[in-house]
Amino acid sequence: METPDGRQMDCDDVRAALLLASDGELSVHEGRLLDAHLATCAECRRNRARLAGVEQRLSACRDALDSLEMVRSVPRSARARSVAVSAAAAAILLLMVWAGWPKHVDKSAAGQLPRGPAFTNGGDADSGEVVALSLPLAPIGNPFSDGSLPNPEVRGELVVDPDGLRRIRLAN
Amino acid sequence: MTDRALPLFLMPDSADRPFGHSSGALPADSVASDVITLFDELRLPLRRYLTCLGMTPQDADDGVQETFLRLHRHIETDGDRTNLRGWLFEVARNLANDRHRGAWVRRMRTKSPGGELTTIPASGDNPEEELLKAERVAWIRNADRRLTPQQAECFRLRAAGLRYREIAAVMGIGISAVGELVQRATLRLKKDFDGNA
Repeated sequence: METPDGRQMDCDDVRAALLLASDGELSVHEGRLLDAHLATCAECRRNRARLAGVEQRLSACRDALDSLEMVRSVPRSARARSVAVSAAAAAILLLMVWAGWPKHVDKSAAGQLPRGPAFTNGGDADSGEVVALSLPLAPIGNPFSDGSLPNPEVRGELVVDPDGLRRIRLAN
Repeated sequence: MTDRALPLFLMPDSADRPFGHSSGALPADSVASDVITLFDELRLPLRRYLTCLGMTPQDADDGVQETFLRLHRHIETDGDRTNLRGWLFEVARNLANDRHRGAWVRRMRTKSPGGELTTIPASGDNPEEELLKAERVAWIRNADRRLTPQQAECFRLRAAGLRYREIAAVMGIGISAVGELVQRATLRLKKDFDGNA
């Protein structure tokens, strides 16, 4: 068997041919030349086995990289929209709290709530009374995840009663 | 209409359609046809390559679209077409570098805690398998720290799915040299993993 330029395939040729073969890029003739060499050369057979191991590991790397793609489920525009909607909802909620809505302030609960150093008096010095508002917190991805209101002008914290009712505890 | 994957900018209703294509119909000219052929072949390898370079899957998708948009402009303006595959990976690499620089500047400005972008594989595999995949991805992304630049680049390109012949063209070296570099990189990978096991 001879290469196209009329000589036998040597070990250097085989190293390149093995790489091309792993990509399915050898012609039938070249494949025969390769097989003929491998049948007589133990070193090149070992190279072929090594290359198979390398390709196996590369294939595992490819799998790992492709598995990352499954994470992609929400388009970027949708994610941006979701963040914008959450931010807008949080802003509206804070505005409502600031404006004193809703009017049905749960004064009875207010007396039971402890006062502590965490509650700062936002207004006049005598109105340190803590009130609890029965606010329906919309499913907006809880903007108060750390338990405190982000607006420094509005002091208070989010509490969850044993009955599951979420309340915003405010310092007047 | 066809089920064939198209670059977003060549979609019939895209606002980013390049000049020379009227909206409402699939592009039929040779430029678009060449771009679509390459998109079919190299979309996934390019996405893997960008992921190897540290991009999140979402950013990698955007990067692939941007790369092919640039390819379209390159062909349309009679750019060199002798090695478009190599050209695509070079553009993708530059894009990843630009994004990293941008991300770095943003991090420094906001002084937020740094660290790598981590994305957890969301396959249906068992936790051990998922952890192994995550470790492999982390290893590939940090390949520069463990390998020579040439080894790392050859390894990334092969892991992305490029053929040895294509990598040789991209790197400007022989096929056997590519094989040698990839093999050394993979042996290092094996050593690191077996050492950690």
